Parts: sequence; C-alpha cells; structure tokens
Amino acid sequence: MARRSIPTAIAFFFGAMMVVNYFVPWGWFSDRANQVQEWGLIVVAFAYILGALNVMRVHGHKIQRKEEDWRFSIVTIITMVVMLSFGLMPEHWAIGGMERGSPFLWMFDNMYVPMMATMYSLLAFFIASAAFRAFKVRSLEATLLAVTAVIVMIGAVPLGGILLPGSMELRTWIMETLQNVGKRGIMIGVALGAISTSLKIILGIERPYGRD
Amino acid sequence: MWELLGIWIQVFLTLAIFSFLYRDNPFYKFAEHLFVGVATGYWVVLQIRNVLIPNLFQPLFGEFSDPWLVIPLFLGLVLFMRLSDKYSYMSRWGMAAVVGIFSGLAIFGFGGGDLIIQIRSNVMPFIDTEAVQAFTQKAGVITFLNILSNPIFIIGVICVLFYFFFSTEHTGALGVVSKIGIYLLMISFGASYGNTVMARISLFIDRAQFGIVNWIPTVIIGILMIIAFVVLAITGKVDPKKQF
Repeated sequence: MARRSIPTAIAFFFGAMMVVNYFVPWGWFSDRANQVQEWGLIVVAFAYILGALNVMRVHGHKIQRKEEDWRFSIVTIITMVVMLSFGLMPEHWAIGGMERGSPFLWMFDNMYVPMMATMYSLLAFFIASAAFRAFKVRSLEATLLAVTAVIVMIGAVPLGGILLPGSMELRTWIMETLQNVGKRGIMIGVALGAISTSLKIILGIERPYGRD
Repeated sequence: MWELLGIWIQVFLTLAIFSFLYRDNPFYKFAEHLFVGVATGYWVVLQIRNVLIPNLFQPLFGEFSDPWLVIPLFLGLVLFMRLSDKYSYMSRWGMAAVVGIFSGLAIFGFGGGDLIIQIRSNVMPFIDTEAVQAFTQKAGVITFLNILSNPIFIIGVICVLFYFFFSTEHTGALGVVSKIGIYLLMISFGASYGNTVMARISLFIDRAQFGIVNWIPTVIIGILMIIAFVVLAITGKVDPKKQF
C-alpha cells in the first residue's frame, strides 16, 4: 500500500505546489516553489547519471557474455569513461576542464559534433526512401502531402525559382498559412491533452512513474 | 598537430557513418558505439558541472547555505535503487517528484504558452483589409492567396479540430468538415516533411563540403575503407547480399 501511495503523494505534493504557486504567487511560498523547480532539475541530473550507469551495465553484460558485436561495446565503455574522466577533472589540471583547448572539448568538437551532423544528414536518405514508399499509396491525402512537400522543397532552392517561377513566394505562403493551420489545430489538441494528462498525474489517476 | 588529427578523425567518422548507406558494417558499428559513449559522457559531465555542482554540492557541502537541499539529494540518490531488485520501488519516489513538478508546470506552460495563444491568434477578421488593399494595388496569385489566408485559418483550424473530435460520428455535413480537416493536416504534414528534408540535405551538403575541403584525408580514408570492404566481403565478415 505504502509502495503505491508514497510516489502518488510526492507527485501530488510537488505538482499541487506548482499549480498553487501560479494562482497565489505569495513571497515566501513563491520562493519555495521556485526552489522546488530547481530541485526537479537536480533530480533530472541524477537521472542522467543513472542512464550512463545503465549504458555501462548493458554493454558490460554484452562484453561479459561475449554477445554479438561485444567488441564494439568496449569502444562505448572506453569512450564514455575517457569523456567522463576528462570532463570531471579539475580545471587547474593540464588536461582537465571544459574550456577551449581541453581534451574534453576536443573530443566533443571532433567526434560528437561531426557524428551528430552526419547522423542527421543520413536521415535525408531514409526520409526520401520512406517517402517514396509512402507516396506510392494513391489517394487524395497522399497526393496533397506529396505535392505540398515538392513545392516546399523546390521553393527552398534558388534553382526552384528558375524552374517554377513564383515557387519561393508560394512556399512562403504555404509555410505561413497552410502549414500553420494544421500545426495550430495540433498544438491546441496537444495542449488540451497535456493539461488533462498533467491533472491526472497530479491527482494520482495516472501514474507514469510506475505502479505495483 | 591536434587540429590535424581532429580533421582526420572527423573525416573517418563521417565516412564511417555514411558507409551505412552501403549496408550495416563494422565501420558504422564502430562509429555508432563511439557516438553513444561520447554523447553519454558529454551529457553526464554537462549535468554534473552545470547542475549538480553549482546547485547542489556547492551550496550543500561547500557553503552549507541551504540544508533543504538534502531533499533533492535524497530524491536523486533513490533513483539509483532502480539497479537493485529488492528496493527498486524506491526509485519511483524520485521519478514521482520529477513527474509531479513538471506536470504542475506543464499545466500553465501549455495552457498559457500554447492553448490561449493559439486560440487568440485565430481570432481575426474574416477579411484582411490590408491584403485586399495589396491585391488591388498589385494583382497576382500570391496577393490573392494572402486574401484567403484569414478565412483558411478561421475555417481550417475548426475543421482540423473537428477531425480530432470523436464524440459525434463523422457522417454527412460533419463528415465533409472532418474530411477538409484531414486534407489540411496532410498539406501541413507535407510542408513540414519538405522542410525537414531540406534541413537534412543542408546538413548533408555541409558534411560533403567538409569532405571536399579536406580532400586528402577523404580520399585516403575512403580508399582504405573500400579495400577493407572488399577484404571483409572476401573473408565473409560482411555479407554483400545482406541489405540494411
């Protein structure tokens, strides 16, 4: 019973505090509520560490059991440990800190940034192949999606203006009007959904933090 | 020296990730696992240095200025109970705190930031006199479309919202309203899709440009990777028939 009620009570207490603070921004209480917001960020920071430990545990198990591609798991663990070591070393040490020229930032600039950009650019090919499959569905909805996408893509490049005069202006109109109509409807729906879900969580009707 | 090494590493990792377009292979797997390690390390260091040290450890153990901080410390530490079989239920206390705080904030964040603003933005005159004036001065397709913008917004958003309204059956006239909602959603998705593709292609051009500017490492590493692929295919480490 306590296992179930303690998390519900904690969620209710902190959630209600945020709601009350909005309606009654009274000095002392408002300060405490703002402090609690900071506490939320602190707990989230611990969750990041837990996530890293979990990555280490999963890859450690893979190495231990010599599962498929276990050698690559060594790469993950080594780079994570190296990154953590460099990043957490004090600034006054020659190889410590996060300043420009530090090994931590060097690894970030030369590994994380290019890989992130390449991973995202790789998605262009997969989105294109997925679209090719999706657009094969011959319906009015799919046609509308495809035609709009093509106009937006053509209008985004200078060549588009030559091939299809006025496509740049048409693109701007589509982005400002037609795209926003759908987006606005979705945003209103999402906001209503988020508010109702948040209320359910605070009142303990929904418990996304786990149940027994 | 370090700069040069950095460029060679960047070229290798870029080509290793692009090699996935050929098929799943050891170079891609290496880059993928390296990325996970670097990204995890980076974000954890950032959280420790930017959140935990200045907001928790410094005031609690350094300056002894805020004893109430033992509460988030406790809630943060119980999260690690997730790793224990017996006491894993305690990790829910920390999660419940985070979920509770951000749910409370979300009510007014979404309410004030999205819901009210979006509804208010849609309350507009049916006919935009400025757009009509612009059309009379310079008649054209775009100036005509601008006159249609306000009616499209007013009617369109109602149609889109109605599509998500399931309390009434979408038949007859209501079915038409719902159908218009779907069409507008599809156009919106198409526009978002086109925009996303162009953003991704811009990133691809950036990476390709980087490879061209640093063509010496690109050519050398590229040739070495092709040789490695041939060797791996001959030795059977990479199945040439297997597609990703």
